[in-house]
Amino acid sequence: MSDRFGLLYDDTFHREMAHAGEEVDFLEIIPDRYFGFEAFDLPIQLPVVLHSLNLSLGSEEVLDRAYVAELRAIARRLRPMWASDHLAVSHLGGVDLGLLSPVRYDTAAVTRIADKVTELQDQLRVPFLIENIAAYVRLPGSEFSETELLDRLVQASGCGLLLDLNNVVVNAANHGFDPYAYLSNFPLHAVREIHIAGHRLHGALYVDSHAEPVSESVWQLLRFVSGRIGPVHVLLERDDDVPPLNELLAELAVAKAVVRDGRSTAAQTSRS
Amino acid sequence: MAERDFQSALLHLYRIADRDDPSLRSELTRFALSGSEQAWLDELMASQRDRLRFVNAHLRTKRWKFVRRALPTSLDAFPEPFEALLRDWSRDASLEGEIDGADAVRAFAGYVEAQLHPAAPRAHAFIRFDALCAAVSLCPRRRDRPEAPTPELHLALGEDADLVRCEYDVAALQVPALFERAERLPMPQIVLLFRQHGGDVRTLVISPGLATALQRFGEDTRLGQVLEAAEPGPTRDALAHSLAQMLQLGVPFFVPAGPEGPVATRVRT
Repeated sequence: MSDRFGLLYDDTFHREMAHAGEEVDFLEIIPDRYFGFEAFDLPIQLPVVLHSLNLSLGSEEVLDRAYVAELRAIARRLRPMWASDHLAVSHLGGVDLGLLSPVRYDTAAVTRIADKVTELQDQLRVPFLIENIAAYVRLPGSEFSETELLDRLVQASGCGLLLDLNNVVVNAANHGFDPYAYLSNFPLHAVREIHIAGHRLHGALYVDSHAEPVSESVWQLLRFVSGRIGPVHVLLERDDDVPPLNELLAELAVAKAVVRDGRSTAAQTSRS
Repeated sequence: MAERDFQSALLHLYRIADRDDPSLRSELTRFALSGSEQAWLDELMASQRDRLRFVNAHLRTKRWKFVRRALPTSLDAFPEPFEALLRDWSRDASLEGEIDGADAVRAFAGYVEAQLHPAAPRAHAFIRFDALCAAVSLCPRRRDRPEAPTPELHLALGEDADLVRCEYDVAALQVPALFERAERLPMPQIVLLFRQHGGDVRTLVISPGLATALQRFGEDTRLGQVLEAAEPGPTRDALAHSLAQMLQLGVPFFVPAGPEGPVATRVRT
């Protein structure tokens, strides 16, 4: 298997997409946008992955049955390679926060999240990936690190991971840690998909905006990770101020070159 | 249970982080927090207050964007009054009590309604109706729609159905070109909005008597109780006939979970 490069599907380039088949290997669909639609057709025959926003894996309550039923209906229709959601609380007690809130990294979190992921894999009948989020507050009271929590979740549930490199850049800047050290501890063996995206500055705070081109720091992390990981799916995540499709394809071409470069550099290093 | 309270308290904290300290702390007393959890939240408020305020502002921006995107007709037809209303609402209105995007749009509609004084731009009436339709459309669809009327049926007013008093003809309120020429009605119309499969919203102009009966569904009432409250004889028969017809038209009556269970499917904070 070789690396694959994809785009977050957006209705605004629905028609143009039909002609982008050679440059795009897969599409990521946010199923939440199509809940309740009787029919939903993609403009092109490409492999698909689902990336939901509101399973609220980290919350201390069971999965929302209606939400999972909608997800299952879309999974049956689109037959995705996998589904994913975030290591976060986004919905609790019937209330949607409208934002991804971090969880405390402790053994109780491992148990409750692994249970939900196991149930989701049973219900959706596809592999499930968990994504690291951009967290603007750091919760006190954790027992171990985020990377250790993710590693434990992989072991406990058999899930895969979705590594969002822009979130790593944003968190490293906002919470003052070394992103390369973080990635060195990240369970890269379980990563099946990588997100790349842009961020913006709000005062001194880095914000995961998905509205700007991919930053140089994200390209550097992609190069770093590419040398340490097997074949992977790389997804350009742009869902705000979405530019014309040709601009997205140009960024995707850069991603291909960066991954190639990262793999080539790592191969040279291991030979020397 | 403790973890759930901690998570609920944290989510609540994001929504009220723009308030001053004493108010924040008193709000958090409603949650059953352990000593260490209370200490963690105190630490969060002390050391990361700017981040909490950012999250609060971020939520407001997301809400503003969501409502703007949900009302393309108002934005296109009446950009200036719409943007002004949205800006003022987004700055002033609390995030508390909102459950999801549909709720945010409904809250905006409520804000616009409060601005409908005689001197207000007439476009406000259009924007308010557009927002109410969007709120109804955005509500999650129900999968358990019955085919025949039964006494336990309920209608969730303020969710996927709503009753609205309109000072302009309902057709004009849906087409900007018609609205530009429309005159204010001598008597307001009462309109039932409801969500159809696929998210389209349908409107029915109904009589004041039927509206009064339907309003009872807003009081946690079932269809059988609504009929019982009507005067026996022709009035009750006519109401039963109307309700059966509405069910056939796709008005989203549903059977609440559990015969004696709570009707409300959503919890307000």
